[in-house]
Amino acid sequence: MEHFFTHGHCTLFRRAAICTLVLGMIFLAGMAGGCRAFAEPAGDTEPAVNFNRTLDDYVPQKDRYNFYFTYKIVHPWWDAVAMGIEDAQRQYLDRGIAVTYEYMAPEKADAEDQKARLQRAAEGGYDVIGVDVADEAVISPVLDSLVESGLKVMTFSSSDASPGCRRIAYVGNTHNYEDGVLLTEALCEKLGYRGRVAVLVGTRGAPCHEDRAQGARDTVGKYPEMEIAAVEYDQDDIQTAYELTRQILRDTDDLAGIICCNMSNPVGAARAVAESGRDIVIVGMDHDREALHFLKDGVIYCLGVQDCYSIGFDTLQVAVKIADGVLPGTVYPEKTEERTTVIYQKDAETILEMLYGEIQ
Amino acid sequence: MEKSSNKKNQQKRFILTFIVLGAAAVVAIIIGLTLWMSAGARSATDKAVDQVSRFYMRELADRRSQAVSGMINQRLAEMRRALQLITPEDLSSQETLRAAIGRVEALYGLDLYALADDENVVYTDLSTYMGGSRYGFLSQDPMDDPVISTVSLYGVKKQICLAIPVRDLRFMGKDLKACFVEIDVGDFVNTLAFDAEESESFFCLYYRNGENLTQLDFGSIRANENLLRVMQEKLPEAEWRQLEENFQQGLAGSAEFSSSGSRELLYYAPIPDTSWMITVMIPESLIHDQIRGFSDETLTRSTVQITVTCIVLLLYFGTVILMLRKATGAVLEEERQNARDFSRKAEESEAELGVIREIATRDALTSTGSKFAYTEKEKALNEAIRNGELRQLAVVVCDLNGLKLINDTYGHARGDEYIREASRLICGLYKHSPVFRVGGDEFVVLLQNDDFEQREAILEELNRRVEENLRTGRAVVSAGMADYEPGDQQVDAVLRRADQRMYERKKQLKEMGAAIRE
Repeated sequence: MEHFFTHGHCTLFRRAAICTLVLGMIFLAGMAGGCRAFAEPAGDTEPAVNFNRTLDDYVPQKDRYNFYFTYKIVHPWWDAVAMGIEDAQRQYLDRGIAVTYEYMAPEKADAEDQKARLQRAAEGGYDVIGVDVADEAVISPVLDSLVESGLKVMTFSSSDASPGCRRIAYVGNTHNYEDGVLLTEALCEKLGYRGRVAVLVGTRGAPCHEDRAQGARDTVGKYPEMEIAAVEYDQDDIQTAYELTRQILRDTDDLAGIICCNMSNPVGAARAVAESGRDIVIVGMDHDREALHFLKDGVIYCLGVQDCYSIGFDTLQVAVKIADGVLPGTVYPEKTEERTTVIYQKDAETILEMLYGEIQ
Repeated sequence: MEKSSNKKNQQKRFILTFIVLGAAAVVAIIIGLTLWMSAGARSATDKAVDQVSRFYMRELADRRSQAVSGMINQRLAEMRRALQLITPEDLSSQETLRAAIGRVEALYGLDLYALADDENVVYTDLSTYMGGSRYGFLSQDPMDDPVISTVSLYGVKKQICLAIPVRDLRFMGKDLKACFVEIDVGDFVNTLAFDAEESESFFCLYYRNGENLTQLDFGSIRANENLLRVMQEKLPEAEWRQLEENFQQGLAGSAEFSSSGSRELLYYAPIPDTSWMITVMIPESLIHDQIRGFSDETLTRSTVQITVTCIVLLLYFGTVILMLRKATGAVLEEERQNARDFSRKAEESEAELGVIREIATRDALTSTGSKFAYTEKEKALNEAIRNGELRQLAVVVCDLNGLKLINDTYGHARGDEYIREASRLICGLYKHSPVFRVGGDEFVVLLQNDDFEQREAILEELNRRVEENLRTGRAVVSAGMADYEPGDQQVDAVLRRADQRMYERKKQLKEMGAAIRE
């Protein structure tokens, strides 16, 4: 906790917000509500991913829009977000509104690459530029300059810009830190609040990854008999995560758990742990198909599944409104929060069927 | 004659029996053969059903497979033609390219027509996005051949993705390397009419790992069930292994299994140029009932045929039997009539014979025994002498005196009367003995019973009356009598003695004045 409060990136606003959120989370967790929801069959509780989205009642002012979206890395997670964007696009088209866009990313996460893309996009005459921030420190100033130049800018999916950035709105996960906390709490409980754990962060500087990792660190730090043995950055690459995990396993004989903060590193970690045959509790994020299979087989203990589909769907809706000059307020919030659902082994088959049509 | 009639009757009964048994044997053979044929027909029907079922499903699967391949190839051809429609002007900007792609989609009725460059950037009519993590075929570099695959991303309905390589097209400084279309699996399946309502046959497309591609139920197998997993529970181990291997190898095959109490037939075959398997399933009863219907109809006809044949045969042979019986009866009646006639005739003959015998043995003039009768009697007496059975016998020989004279004098009529008178005289005395007229004027009397006992007295009375007749002019008879003596071998010996004594009496009468009337 001390580390958290003295972290260079923490501002007063952020501290207050985080404290409020933590207290709220504790309250809601006690009420068996909030983000800690299990994936249930449709009809009983809200599903982890809601594919039954329809456009809201807002009437676009134009019949044609052109957007530019860029995100961290070519990755199935953002392909899932694209599914929501495409569905919203189809529904707009059914209403006679043509929404065109570019949805671009580098093969490897690179904040400078993203910066260059944004600068090129600034010349593209797009109605709105949307970005999944690769590095808030690098990208936030770029976004500010784009806004200053008169462009409409939004952030979306997993990572927002720095607080205070002049981007117009954000659609995505607003609770990455809380996601890290939730997953790590589950792991600690599983381990009986004792043992040594590792953290696989993801992309260095990626706000969502870093926030989750911070949540993990803070949670582990609460328990005197627990210790973080290693923190590594896999740059959102499965193979890198695998190799890092193998190294951690070699270096830490008594490793009890691994906290994975993105979609790729649970897969890499699970592969390495499965190979080793050691009994290590793994928690992670998202809905990778292989990770879900590891979850089903018990190699992974739990996964935090984000509703990527809704992220994409809402991103396009918000982009249309932003393009019309509507500012956040009553029509849409500055931050459209998308849910994360923690799922366990018993939920794996349901999610596999829901997301991949896979029947066991 | 009676024996001949019996023999004929036996023959007729034999023939009748032979005909009846023969008819019964023919009927039994026909029925037996038909039953044997029926059993064979049913077995053959079952085999035919099996063969026809497999042939039918193979044909169905081949047709559907061809339909699938045809659709795919048609799309691929359309994609190639569409590429040729893209002009350099279309490739001058993103807007013009999107417009060109939109025209292609409208022209060919495509939901998604896209181009991809060598950096895996995908261009559609409305968007540009990174496709490397969405489409596995984009990892092929270069892409040499068309790729047929399915894309299933994040809960979105499964899409069939057809991709062809692109050559010699550049966009925004990059080479275009692939062109692809996405076809909704549901639309694809609807086009193939896999899900025809009220159809008794089922079709589906599966991946080689047994996952359902079409998202349609496959008969009793639900859309979300893995075919191989389902079949593992329904098939014997060896058959399931074969099924699994065939799927993995992309080989055609078939299997039978039970589902909800009925037999189902499954046939599967690979779709060319894809990693899909088309499956066909029909209930065994579908064809079985069709063919069984014909088979049963044939058997019914056979049964009717047998029944009619049996009835006809029964009627025929029954008629034959009746006719034979009638004919036989007629014959028998005729025979009976003949027998009756014969009997009547026999009786008549017997009567005639009796008459003849009477005529033969009775002298017509005097009604005494004839010479023939005497001969017969003599034979019997001789037989008795030989057998030692004769105890007593006396023979009286009587001869008329003067018959010739009377005939000559008064005529034969008067002579016949003379003879009759003499006969009356003799017969009147010898009342208990046969009298035979053995000659014109000779009589022999074989004495028996009381006449034998009274023979002397009777002879004496005869002689007295004869002597009296000498005076009255009535019949004069010379009589001589002799007894059977033990040494006599034959009656003739007695007759000769009696005859001798008759001659002595004749002399005596002559001396008394009897006229010589010979």
